[in-house]
Amino acid sequence: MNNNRHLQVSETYFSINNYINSDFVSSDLEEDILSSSILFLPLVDFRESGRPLFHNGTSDFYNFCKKSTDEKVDICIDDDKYEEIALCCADYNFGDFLIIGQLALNIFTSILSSYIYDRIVNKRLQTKNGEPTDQSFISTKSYLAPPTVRFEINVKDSIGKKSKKFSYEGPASEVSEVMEQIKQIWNE
Amino acid sequence: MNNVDIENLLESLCETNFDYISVLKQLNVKKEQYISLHQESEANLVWVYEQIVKINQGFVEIYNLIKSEKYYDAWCEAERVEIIINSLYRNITNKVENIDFIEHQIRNIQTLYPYTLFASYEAIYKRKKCSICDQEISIRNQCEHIKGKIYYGRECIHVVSEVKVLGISLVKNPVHKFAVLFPSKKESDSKADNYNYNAVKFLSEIWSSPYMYWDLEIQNKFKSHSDFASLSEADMCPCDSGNFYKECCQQNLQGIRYNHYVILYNNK
Repeated sequence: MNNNRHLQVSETYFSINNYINSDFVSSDLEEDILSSSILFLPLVDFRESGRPLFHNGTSDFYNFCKKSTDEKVDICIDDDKYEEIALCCADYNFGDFLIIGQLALNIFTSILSSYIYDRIVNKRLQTKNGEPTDQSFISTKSYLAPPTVRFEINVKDSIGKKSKKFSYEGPASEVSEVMEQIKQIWNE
Repeated sequence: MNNVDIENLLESLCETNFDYISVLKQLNVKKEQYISLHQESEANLVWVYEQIVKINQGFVEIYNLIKSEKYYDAWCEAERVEIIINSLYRNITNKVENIDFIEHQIRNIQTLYPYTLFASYEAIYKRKKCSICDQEISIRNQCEHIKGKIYYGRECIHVVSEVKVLGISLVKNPVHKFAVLFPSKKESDSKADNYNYNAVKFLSEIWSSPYMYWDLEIQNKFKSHSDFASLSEADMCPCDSGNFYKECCQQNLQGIRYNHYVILYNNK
């Protein structure tokens, strides 16, 4: 059951073929991509750019992800076509992912949660019962509000019968709890 | 100069006559010595001391700029200090009380500023290079360096070598806080600053030295609806919630909510 108002869950039919058959993934990457259980997906035609893009910082997280697990991690783009879009609003956009199977989901949610906690959550700000007590948060200044993160995780089981999409846009501090929810909902 | 000498020197960091420029020069010489001896962890430690000095130097500069009524310059300096603080804390695990104090005060200062809207560029970063090894960032063949980490006293940053700017957005929570919008009525007024800095001026009157303790308390107060006689239901609520007036404070018999800032201070 979804208790978090920032998390949207939907049933979805997701096909990796849309990416593999595109002009930004060459045929020699196909085998690696199809055998990976954690896939980074590009934003296609974002801001009507006419090109596949990844959010600024994706290369850092991709690197972190690969070093954090023995699961096969890959990205649906040719090396020479990789570009990032910087939106320069202080929210953290992680983009879209495809995860295959329960094990990969458990691992990926842990990695993403850990990355967000280490790099984004400001642990120096005082909290009480998980809520920030810093007075500047009470003001209406958006630039002083706790950081917001966005990501979309498409999960499929390994035989392709079950598929769900989890979209989150909310406080970075709630991500850890949301990841537990995602795992529970997938298991239902 | 060894690390004990450095720590002794930094004990006077919060004193009025601390010579930031001279100390930073000495630290840089020490760091270069360690680099030439391939002593990476020692060079990185000196980098930490350098950042602590720069943060304090910047904080005193913020104080001086506010006292001189150079409010936008003080705002920009506050952002620079914030960036150094974040950079420092990415590379140390222990807390530094002096730095935590400065970080807290900067947030308080930013709360008092009237800025709400910023220009934020949107761009495609086509090529990036590592500042440590100068290698182009290739998604599947990245260098060993991690962005934000320190290597031989230098922070790894990704330098954008090819970029395409798509446009400008107006945002309330920018990455670049310096990009404040300065609206003006006439084209000839391009450098006009029409913001109301009364809250910052009030702080300036109380704040008698950079490290003087003061803190901020925000109270909810209400203004009568009759003070906003020309406001219609379809207008945005003046409380800055982002909601329409009819869905927000118009429902509240107490009136329209606003933040009342109380500055608590100890003049020691």
